[in-house]
Amino acid sequence: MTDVTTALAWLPDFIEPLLTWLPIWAQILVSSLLKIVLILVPVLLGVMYLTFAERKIIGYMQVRVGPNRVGPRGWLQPIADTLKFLTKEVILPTNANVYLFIIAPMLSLVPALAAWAVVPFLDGWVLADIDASLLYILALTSIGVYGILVAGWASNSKYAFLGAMRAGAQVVAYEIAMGFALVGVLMAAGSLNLREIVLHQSGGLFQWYWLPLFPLFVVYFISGVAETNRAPFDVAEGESEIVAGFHVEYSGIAFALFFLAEYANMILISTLTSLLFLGGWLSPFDGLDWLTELPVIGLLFGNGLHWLLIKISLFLLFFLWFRATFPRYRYDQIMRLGWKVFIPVTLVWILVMGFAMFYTPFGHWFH
Amino acid sequence: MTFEHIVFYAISLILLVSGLLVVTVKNPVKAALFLILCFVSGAALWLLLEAEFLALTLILVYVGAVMVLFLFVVMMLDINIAEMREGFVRYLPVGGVVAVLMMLEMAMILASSKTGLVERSHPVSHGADYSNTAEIGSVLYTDYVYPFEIASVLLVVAIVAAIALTMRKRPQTKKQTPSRQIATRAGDRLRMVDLKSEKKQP
Amino acid sequence: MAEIRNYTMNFGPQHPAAHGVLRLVLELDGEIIERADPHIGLLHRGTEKLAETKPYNQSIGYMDRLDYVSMMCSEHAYVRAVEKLLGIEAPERAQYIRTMFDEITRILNHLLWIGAHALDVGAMTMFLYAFREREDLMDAYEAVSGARLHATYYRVGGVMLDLPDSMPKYKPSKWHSEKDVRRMNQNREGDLLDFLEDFTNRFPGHVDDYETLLTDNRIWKQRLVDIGVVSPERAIELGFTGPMLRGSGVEWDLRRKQPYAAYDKMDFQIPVGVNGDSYDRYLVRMAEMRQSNEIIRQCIDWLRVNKGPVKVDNHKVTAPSRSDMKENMESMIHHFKLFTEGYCTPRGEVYSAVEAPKGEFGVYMISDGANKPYRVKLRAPGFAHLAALDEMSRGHMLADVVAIIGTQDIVFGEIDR
Repeated sequence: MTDVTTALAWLPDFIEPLLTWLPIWAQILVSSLLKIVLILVPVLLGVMYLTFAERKIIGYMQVRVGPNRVGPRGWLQPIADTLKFLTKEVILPTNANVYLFIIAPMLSLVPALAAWAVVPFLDGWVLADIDASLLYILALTSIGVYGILVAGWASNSKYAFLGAMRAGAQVVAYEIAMGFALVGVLMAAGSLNLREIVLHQSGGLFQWYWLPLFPLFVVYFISGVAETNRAPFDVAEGESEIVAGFHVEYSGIAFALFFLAEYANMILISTLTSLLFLGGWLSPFDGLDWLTELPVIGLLFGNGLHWLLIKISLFLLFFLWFRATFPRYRYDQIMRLGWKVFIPVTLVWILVMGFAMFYTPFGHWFH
Repeated sequence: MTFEHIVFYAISLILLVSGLLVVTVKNPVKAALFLILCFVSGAALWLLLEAEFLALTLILVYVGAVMVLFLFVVMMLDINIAEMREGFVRYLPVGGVVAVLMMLEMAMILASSKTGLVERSHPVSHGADYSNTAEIGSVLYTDYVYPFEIASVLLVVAIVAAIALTMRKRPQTKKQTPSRQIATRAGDRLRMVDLKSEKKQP
Repeated sequence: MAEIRNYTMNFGPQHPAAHGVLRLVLELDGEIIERADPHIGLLHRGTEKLAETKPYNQSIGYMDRLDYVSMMCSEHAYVRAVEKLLGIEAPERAQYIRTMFDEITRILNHLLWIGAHALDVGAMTMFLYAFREREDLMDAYEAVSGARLHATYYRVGGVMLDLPDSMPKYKPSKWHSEKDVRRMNQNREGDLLDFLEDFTNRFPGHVDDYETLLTDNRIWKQRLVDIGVVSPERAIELGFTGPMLRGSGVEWDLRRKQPYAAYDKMDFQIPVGVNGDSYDRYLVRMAEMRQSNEIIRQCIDWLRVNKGPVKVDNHKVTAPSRSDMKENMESMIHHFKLFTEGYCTPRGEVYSAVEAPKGEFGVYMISDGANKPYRVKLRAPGFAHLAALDEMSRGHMLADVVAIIGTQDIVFGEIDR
């Protein structure tokens, strides 16, 4: 099983001598905890500043400036928001199921954070390099809906309940499309391990899976938007129809947890899309040796974490852009899109892939 | 006792307690949630057996989809607990007999080393590079391909039947056809009329 | 098996899509609407009764507060009713000013409508775009009347003041540097007409922007096409007016059928829908904004060349000029009488209607010869539209109700009066 060297794998070198006085199991424990902190702190900071970026970017799209009062150019706004959430009262509605009401935000946050355990940031930079990491991610994203369902039911409000029902049906529908899109990636890479899937795409822009799996790429990202209940699929919140949907009765930190989960999921979906279809940390100039061997700037053109961050930011920008541009789908139209458009598209493309890979000479396109 | 033992007993305890709570707790929504906890801890036990594909599929399929729909139904139904408890004493003998029979059967299987009912070998631990996903896939699509296909056909039939049975015709519902909606052109929908101005009123 | 039951839901009065204080009791079967029961009266202020207790001139301000997004149009109907009673007519220049501000109001209203409607359907950017243009028109309101919303600019026998020679300007502040301010003031250097002309040149481009965002958007079409269909016959039976009626394909517009102010001299077209669904009504209103823009342009051209009085010279009805009042005893008395007692109208009853942005806004007035009306009845277009909400939304889904409220352009100020 795990030994100390793998546990310390990508931690900085100075950590190791600090831990030697501990027993082996404690060394593993401490280094794993350190890694969790190293992953979650950036994720949570990312969530905080994603909300800021959202307000700023959508603000500029809507010819206004967004928050600009707290701190220089509004940069401290997320911190002010957090403080506000922390100091506000959590109101328990009468006749709400108190226990479930309180547990629901946690139910939605935990899977959103736990999924990061298998996400690789660089070759080897991963908390748990498990074989079936793709399945693990699918399983955890599918659990996230319980927070919404339980919140909607426990609030004892018809609006919240309607929101929960919508969210439940929507997530189940889009999970299938997402799953099928992942089957395509699985067929192309021949592995369920995220790290191997990324390494399989090495060789530059045109080796990434977005090209051969283009329909699946599109379906996966749009399903991801639907899965996170973001516009134009935000019927679970449905501001103008069911007020705020499942979290209409939540306030203070309980509401903030839902918020956190939603944005953590957004980042997760963006990260996964970059890993699965855009080659993760791989550089688009991967094959061009003369470019990567240039002094100093060669490093920028080579593989690295910065490429992953750029790709994640790109998809996050899409999330925000969608929100500023599109009207909201109606609930049944979302269902139709999921069941009658996306699932057939993915199924057909999987068939095409399978056929091409085994019966035509074009199989190498998909490998 | 190794670390794995501790984990095993802890998870088993959770599994048993939540299993018990599924049938004893009053609120059906809570019962369904405890059932989900059962599935999750069951999946954790499978993970201990290094059956990660099965464990994750259990979560994906049962927790992520089946139980969501189950919870749906339970939440929407207004179940009257008192009414459901009415026949408890009347059905107790039958229920008791079934329970005892089940326990006996399970005991016979569990104690198979004594009864000789099933031949079991100890699960073998495989290396890290062993993919049970690939193993299951190759077994499913070679040795068991017919049962597998039959099962899937049965499931499709069940889905179609369920939809056909529960489909309610609602004649007063206004339906839209998305293809027609999208094919609408703004130019076909607007006429610009040059109305002649009528005589100005005093 | 458990019995399948419908459930009722209170939609509003505190609801983001309730457009004020609409309270809808919805009977739902799943997400399908079985019955929509609008409850009104939460914004009732007794405007009609208030108008019956005050001299004629003092009720003009109440009219602004009826439909608080199309202020001057309601004023117009009221002052025209009084003018009809008195048998006077405003001077030509006042007629053109009124025409121009009626159309400015129409654009103001339709901008708010498209913003709120798009927001209801989920496209929130439209709201802010629409408010950017509204800001300019509000400035025009402010320039002539001093108030950005409740102008009280129309008077019996004309308008309060002639158009101003200069526009208010931005001043440098902590947030806007000299340079910013110079850029922002660029179109404010001339008089109001220059400012409005600049607006009319820009506005069609803005409408194009809105249409790019919405008209051919697949989601927008899926949310509007075939939603809330009303046949032309039914639209007439239900008492629809304005874009709601024209959306169903009925060629009816008071500006043409019963022309008032300077509309008979204006060159414009009437957009008419085909199917009578929400999408048609959306297109009709968008086209109306373009037509209104043209009308404003024609008014600007006329007003530039033709100077003249903006109110009748009968100081029993209109206030005398300020300087006159300081020197002339007669004017002083006129002023005092006008603002205390007001004026008496001949006995009789009148009905005057204008094509307000939402439809026919009418004022029915009975005078018993006193200095205040004996009875005032206001015909609000939104009331008839809201009454049809049940018929329009029955069988649609919950999200469609929101779209239908949006397409009806409900404003509660006029419905509850």
